Amino acid sequence: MKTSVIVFPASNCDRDAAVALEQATGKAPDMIWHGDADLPATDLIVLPGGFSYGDYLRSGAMAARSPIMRAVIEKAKAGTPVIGICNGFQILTEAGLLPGALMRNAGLDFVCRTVTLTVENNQSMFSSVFEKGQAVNFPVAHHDGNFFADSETLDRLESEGRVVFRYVDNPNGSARDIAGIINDSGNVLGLMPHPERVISPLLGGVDGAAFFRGLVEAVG
Amino acid sequence: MLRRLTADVLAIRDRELQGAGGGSMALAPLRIVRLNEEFFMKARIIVTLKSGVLDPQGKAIEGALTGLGFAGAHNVRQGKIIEMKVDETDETAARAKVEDMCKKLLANPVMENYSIELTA
Repeated sequence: MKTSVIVFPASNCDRDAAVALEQATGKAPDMIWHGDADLPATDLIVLPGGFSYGDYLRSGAMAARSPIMRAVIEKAKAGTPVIGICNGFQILTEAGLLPGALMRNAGLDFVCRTVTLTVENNQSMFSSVFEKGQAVNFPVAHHDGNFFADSETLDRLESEGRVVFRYVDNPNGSARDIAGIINDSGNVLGLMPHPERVISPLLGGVDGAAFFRGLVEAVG
Repeated sequence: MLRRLTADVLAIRDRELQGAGGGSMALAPLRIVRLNEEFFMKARIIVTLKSGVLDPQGKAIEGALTGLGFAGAHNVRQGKIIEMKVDETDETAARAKVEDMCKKLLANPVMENYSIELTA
């Protein structure tokens, strides 16, 4: 299985994502620079966390318009699984691959701690390894993680089972405690917390290892 | 008259640049171009959060104003202003160009509104 990690200027979780992918697939991912126009053949694309382009204008706004994103959007629309973690989630909403927006945390604080999430939907390729209702622990580290969408969009996300992960104790003011959503085809996930940071007991947890292992099994 | 003249000169410059493939023709009109930049439109784009969208920064500013003893400052909202010169001398053309910029990058329609002010 071939995977790709997109590297933007000021991505800072790209190597963590690479380690997590290599652990799950046995093979190092291709690291793709944002300025490239083409993606190699790939079965899974990760947009990593970080502060791409210094969060200028709006978090993820510049990265969403970088050359590589045309190829990512094309692949996503053709069904290739894509995960955006943290800044990657912001980029996916800015690129129009996911609805809503990630706004400044309601408490204005940069929130950096491990949070507990509930698996709301375990029918997605990103969550089939978990039980429905299972609690998982992933760290968050963000300033702009406050998920916002109009109530009509939120209702649609809920009714279509597209809220995959929800905060147990909302750290940022996100609408309906939303931590992670998928697109209508189910192949694009945006997730504020960082599963790639908990892939070994040495790092303080293994729920992220299960996340990537399950995803790799689901994608095959 | 000046505006008309500017548009004509720009048209000539663009044609020449195009004809030369961006090559050696660029030097000759430089002085004229610098003069003409004075007649380009200036755009000021004001981006604000839609009403109903929570603005924690506005709230914090309001709290600080209250803390300083400014009574009666309510509904403080923070937005941003983007200024630029647009390579157009015609207001309609400039507005169309900036409108397109707003839709594609400068504002996020999920949570923001924008307005455009153009001045000569």
